[in-house]
Amino acid sequence: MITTEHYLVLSAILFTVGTIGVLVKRNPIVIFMCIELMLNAANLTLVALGRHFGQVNGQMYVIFALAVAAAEVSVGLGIIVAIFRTKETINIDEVNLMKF
Amino acid sequence: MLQNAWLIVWLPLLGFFFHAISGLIFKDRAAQKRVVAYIAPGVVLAAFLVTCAVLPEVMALPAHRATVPLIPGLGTDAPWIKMGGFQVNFALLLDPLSLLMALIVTGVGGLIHVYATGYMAEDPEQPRFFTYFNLFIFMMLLLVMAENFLLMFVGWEGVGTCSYLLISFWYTQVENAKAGNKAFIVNRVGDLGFALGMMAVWSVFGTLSFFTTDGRGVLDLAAVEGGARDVLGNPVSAGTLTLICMLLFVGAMGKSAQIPLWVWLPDAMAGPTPVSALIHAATMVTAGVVMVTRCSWLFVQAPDAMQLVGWIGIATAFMGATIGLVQNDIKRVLAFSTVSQLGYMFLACGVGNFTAGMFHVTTHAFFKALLFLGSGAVIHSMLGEQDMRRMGGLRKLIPRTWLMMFIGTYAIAGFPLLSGFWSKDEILEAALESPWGSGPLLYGIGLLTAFMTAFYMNRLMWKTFYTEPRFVDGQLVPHHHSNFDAHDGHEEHAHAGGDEHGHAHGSGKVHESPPSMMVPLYVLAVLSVGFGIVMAHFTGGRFEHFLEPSVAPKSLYVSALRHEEGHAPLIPPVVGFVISSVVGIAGLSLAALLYRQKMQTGALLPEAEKARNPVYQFLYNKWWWDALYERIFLQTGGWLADRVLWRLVDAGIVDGIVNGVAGAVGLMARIFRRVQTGYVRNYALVMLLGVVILVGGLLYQWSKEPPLPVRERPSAAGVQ
Amino acid sequence: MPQSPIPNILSLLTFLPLVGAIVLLFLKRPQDLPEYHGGHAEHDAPHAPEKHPADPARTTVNLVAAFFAGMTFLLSLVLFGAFRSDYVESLTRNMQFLETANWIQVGNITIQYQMGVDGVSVLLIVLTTFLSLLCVLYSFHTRQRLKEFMVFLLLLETGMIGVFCALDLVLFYVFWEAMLIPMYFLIGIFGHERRIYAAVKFFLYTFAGSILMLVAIVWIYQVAGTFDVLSLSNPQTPEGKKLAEYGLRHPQAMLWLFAAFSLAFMIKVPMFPFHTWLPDAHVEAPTAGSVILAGVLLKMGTYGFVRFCLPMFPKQAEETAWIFITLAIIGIVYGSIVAAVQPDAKKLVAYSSVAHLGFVVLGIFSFTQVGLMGALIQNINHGISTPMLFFIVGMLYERRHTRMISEFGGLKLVVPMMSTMLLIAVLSSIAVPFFNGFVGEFPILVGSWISRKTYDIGGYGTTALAATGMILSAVYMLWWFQRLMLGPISRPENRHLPDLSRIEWTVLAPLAGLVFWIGLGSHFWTQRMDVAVEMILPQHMEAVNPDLPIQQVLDQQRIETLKRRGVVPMELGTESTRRVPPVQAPGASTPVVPPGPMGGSVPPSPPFPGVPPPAGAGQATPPAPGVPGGAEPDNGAPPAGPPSELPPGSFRGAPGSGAAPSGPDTPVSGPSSGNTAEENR
Repeated sequence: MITTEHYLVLSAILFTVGTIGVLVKRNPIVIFMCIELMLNAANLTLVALGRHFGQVNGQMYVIFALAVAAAEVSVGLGIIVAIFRTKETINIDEVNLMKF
Repeated sequence: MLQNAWLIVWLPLLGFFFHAISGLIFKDRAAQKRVVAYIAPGVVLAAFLVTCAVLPEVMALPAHRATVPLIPGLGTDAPWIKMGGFQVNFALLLDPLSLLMALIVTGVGGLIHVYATGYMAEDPEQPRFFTYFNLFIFMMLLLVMAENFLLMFVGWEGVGTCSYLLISFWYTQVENAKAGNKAFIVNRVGDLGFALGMMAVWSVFGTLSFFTTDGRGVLDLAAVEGGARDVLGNPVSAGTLTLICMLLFVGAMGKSAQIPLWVWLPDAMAGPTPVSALIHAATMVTAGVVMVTRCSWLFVQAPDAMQLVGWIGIATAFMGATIGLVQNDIKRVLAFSTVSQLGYMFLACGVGNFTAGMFHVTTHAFFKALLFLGSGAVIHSMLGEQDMRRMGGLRKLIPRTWLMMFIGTYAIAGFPLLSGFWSKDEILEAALESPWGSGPLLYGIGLLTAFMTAFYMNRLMWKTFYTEPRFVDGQLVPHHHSNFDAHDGHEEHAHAGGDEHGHAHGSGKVHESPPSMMVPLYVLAVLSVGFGIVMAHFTGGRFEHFLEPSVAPKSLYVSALRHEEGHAPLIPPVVGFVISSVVGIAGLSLAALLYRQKMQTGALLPEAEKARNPVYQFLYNKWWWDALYERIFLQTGGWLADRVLWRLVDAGIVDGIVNGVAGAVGLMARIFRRVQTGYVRNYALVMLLGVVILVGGLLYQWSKEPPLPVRERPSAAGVQ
Repeated sequence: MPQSPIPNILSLLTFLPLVGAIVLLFLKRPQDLPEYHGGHAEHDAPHAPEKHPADPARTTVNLVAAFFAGMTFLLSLVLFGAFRSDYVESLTRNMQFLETANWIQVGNITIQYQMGVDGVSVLLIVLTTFLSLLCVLYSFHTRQRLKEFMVFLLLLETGMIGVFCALDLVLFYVFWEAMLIPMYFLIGIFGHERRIYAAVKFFLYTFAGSILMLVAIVWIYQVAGTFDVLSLSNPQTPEGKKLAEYGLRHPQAMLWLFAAFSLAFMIKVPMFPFHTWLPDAHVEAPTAGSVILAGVLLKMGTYGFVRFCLPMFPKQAEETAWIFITLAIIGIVYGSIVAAVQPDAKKLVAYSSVAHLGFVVLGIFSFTQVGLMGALIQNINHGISTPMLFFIVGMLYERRHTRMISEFGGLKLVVPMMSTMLLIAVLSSIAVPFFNGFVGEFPILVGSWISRKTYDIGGYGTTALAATGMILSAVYMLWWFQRLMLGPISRPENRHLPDLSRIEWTVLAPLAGLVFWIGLGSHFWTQRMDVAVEMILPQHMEAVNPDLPIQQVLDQQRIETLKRRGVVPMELGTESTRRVPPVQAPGASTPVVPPGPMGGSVPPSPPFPGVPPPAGAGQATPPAPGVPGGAEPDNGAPPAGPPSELPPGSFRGAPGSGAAPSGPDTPVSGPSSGNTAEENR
């Protein structure tokens, strides 16, 4: 039987994977993908718990989150393109001008 | 005329104002100098006349005392300072003491002004000189005629300021400026004591006025039968009175050049000779004696203070005389002589005979002014030379000056029947009868000092007048003093042949001084000869009787010491006279005998020996007082101020802390900014950590108490 | 309340310079003249070889600035003339020309716009406008950025006048901080080599203190519910009572509040050890900046003590007075000694300010009327003599572009008028009598001598140590004057310096005149402060040494003054520090109460020494008891001969209580110790 707990665990695993990806990866596009993964993990949690409590709220939040995620990714990809234009690289370790 | 006594004080003040703006009024320098030369002595002598007119009116009053306004039209309660219970008014006190001093200041001062018109005639800054000179007279008159302590203090510091201005009159020589500084600063040390004494007086007696019409002045309260009372009517303890008197005496020590604050007086000779005569002989330095006499009612009730006064007086008298034995500058000899004679005056006050002290003030004013002015005439004749080692043989060349100096010397030496004899003898006999013991010791030291006085004065005469000349008449090198000589910073100027004064000085010959300088000398000589015998205690006591209302009677002092009065004096007066005369004549003769054998060199010791002789060096260097002060205050003090207090404490520690705080902030900033690595991943990690901590904390709290009630899952039927 | 001829005169005074600054902003910018080789935007030397073309914009800016500064000065004179020195009212005390309006209201927090002046502030305001006018005049020849300079001067003037008028804590704080910004710019833009360091140091140092004061202000609001200074200072109002009671319940907290306020003022005064910003700020500031800094800004520290610390925290002030006295005396001695060895003339004068203001703080914390009054007038005196010194140093700087004393010497031959002015300023600083410094310093020292506070620290030696400032100031000042002006001309560059120009005369002569006006006629100036001082230092706060006889005299005088004014002496919840005079033991003589002048027995004249007193006439009047409660026979009279009690006369101490004019045997009613009124004279 697939219980709510399974969903929660799955979402936790996804979240963790996404977090590690954000921290470890150097390529901003991959980082974005991992952020997407984190977001979707959260979405999954919301849906699962919504189902668990028999309310529609969870799915409502997910719709909003999806919209926000889309907007954020578009902005972020634009920034990446702009950075690439000036620095010829998108290795985020090399974009460190805002330091002390 | 009594109500117009303010004129006495205002006339010199108006002279001051006039001279100060005379540069704007007169375009022609010569005309300006001429007018100033008439106005300056004129106002002082006019003040003298007013004083003479006021005197009989005051003596006609029952108490021989009057308080008159200082500012005409404002009355005697015109407040100067009025703050929270502390009030000081502008008013003058006319009584025998103040009028005596006013006569001396305006009379002798007027004569010295006349003299100065001759002495300073060639100085281009003569108007500035008389500006300061008139201001000095004003301040001195304010001092002696003040109705209260604070106004006296105004005059006290005022004369100190004028002294500073006049000593450093020829300011292009740095030594003169430094001498002025020294005078002012050492005086200030004394003024500190005076100021503290005044505060003590006010806090006990509730007022600073000497006498008030309702009998509540400081001296009124002090003079109450049975002991001084304070403002509430309670008796004042002897300790309090002693404290007050000692503090006031510190002021006198400074102003009247007593040990330990005497070191400024010899240096003050850097000023023009009229300044030395007026300020540092006749008037300003006697201010201390005047003050002690004015406060005699306080002093007589503080026997410890009297002892202090007496001992310091005799010590200073002795010391001054010993140093005067070996000085080479003619004015320095007289300066140390002044220090010594001032010591005599304080000795007299210390043993309770204030009138004797004031008598000596008066006679000293005459003969010391005579001596100083005479020496000024000598210096003038010698075209500025002051060193006696380069003088000699002047008796034939300037006989009139010689005669004046002769009279002055014999007067100060105590030659019988001249005025110095009478006053000095009164002091010595009073010292012998000292109520606090040590009479014979004081008398002995006093005689020894008198002997030395006679010796060094005659030494001066011999070196200057009788020995063979140590210069060539006709080839004198002028040592003129003026601020406009040394344009290129050199000491002597190039034109020795003729100078800018247009005198016959171009020949470099010695000649007598002009009448403007000689006439005051004649007057002073007459006074030096005749005043004593007319006024002395033993010839009718006119002086004493005159001064009586202003001083505490000796009976008060004696009763304070419970000394038996009325026993026969230790030495009958006649014997005392004889002893004094013998001592004086012995001193004069010894000098004559010794120097008669050194007619060529005029020196008892050869120069080479002087440097080796320790006694000579000790005396010549003023008992090493100056060296000591210099070491302590200038060198050590300067080092302390610079290295320790400024560089170490202020810039190092205090400012160091301030800059250290700023530096610490900077240091911390430099450390903490390293958090901003610029690496996005670091930021992400930090965010993650933050979230973990936050959520962890929340979970921890929720585990204790859940935020929301646990809800049951709804039944499967209600959900698809 | 006295009416001023011009309504809202205080707001007008405060904001007129601000209006002037705004007007100036719209004017055309004058041409900048080229800098000197030193690279500063300082003055034109009067003997500058190049003649710059007359720039109408420059003239306009100068005239407009002078106009506004001058109008403000005239307004302050009107204020001074309209001020009634004897006005007193129980709530507003000596405050006149009050203006009150609600300024900021947020919820139930009200910050009021409340302005008023009393005897203390009115003199300071006149000083402020006067010095600002002189600074504007002196700055006419600023070479670079003249317009900005004038704008900053006028803004500064607004802030300064506002500080002295503000009677609401937040309003005061606003003006206090508002002063810092124009001053910062003045130093930072128009200053000398290390100007940035000096400006930042000045700003941060002063600011740090004020921040703590802000915290205290907010705390006070929490406690008392108001920012109004008048009610907080008066324990009879509900707010003042709350504050006083808070102080009783939480003495520690109150001490911290007091400390916070004091710290801000201590830094501003400046007191040792918070003084090190001053030498740097003074040295690096332009001349007009130094003058204003020394002449006015430093006064605000002492003003703050008098306006806020003493009235709002009397008990704390009394308890910690010894700290302030000690620091003040250290400041006097230390400041003077360090001043003596400075090679830079401006630093010398800066340290002399530390010494002079040490005297002022000593006077304030002596808790005597004499001392406080002396301190307040010395405040003004310092605001005249030190600006004079700074002006002259500035004038020398313009001519030679150096401040080092060693660069000068023998200048009296070259610039005799300037030398005379410097001599006047120096003698005034040294406190020679008949110059203004004396009428400040001497009463301060008198107050210190009779004060219980200084006595508790080290006896009379404390005052003696403070008085050594007299000697030390003479040392460094005269030595400085000698190195500067006397002696031969040691450097050829000094040979041809020009003497005072017209503007320099205009600036120095009034200051010199004031030196003598205050020195000779101090009563004219101090009489305006009498009532204010009495309000600031009520009788129970006065700490005169009770061992001194003068203490009772002063007490009685205060009681009489209060009776005459019709104002009841205030009681406080705090305990009085005045010792009750001990009951006279029998056997001691008691103060004599005289029979009234219309009494029957003729008071004989006091016996002068040497003149025997009239035998027995009128002297047999038994003295009245000093304490109510029955006649005591005077046992102090000796059994025979002339009696020893004081001759009858009107005592300064005893209130003139009426006496039944009759024969010697009627006991006369004694003087009351203050609270019962007796009217029969």
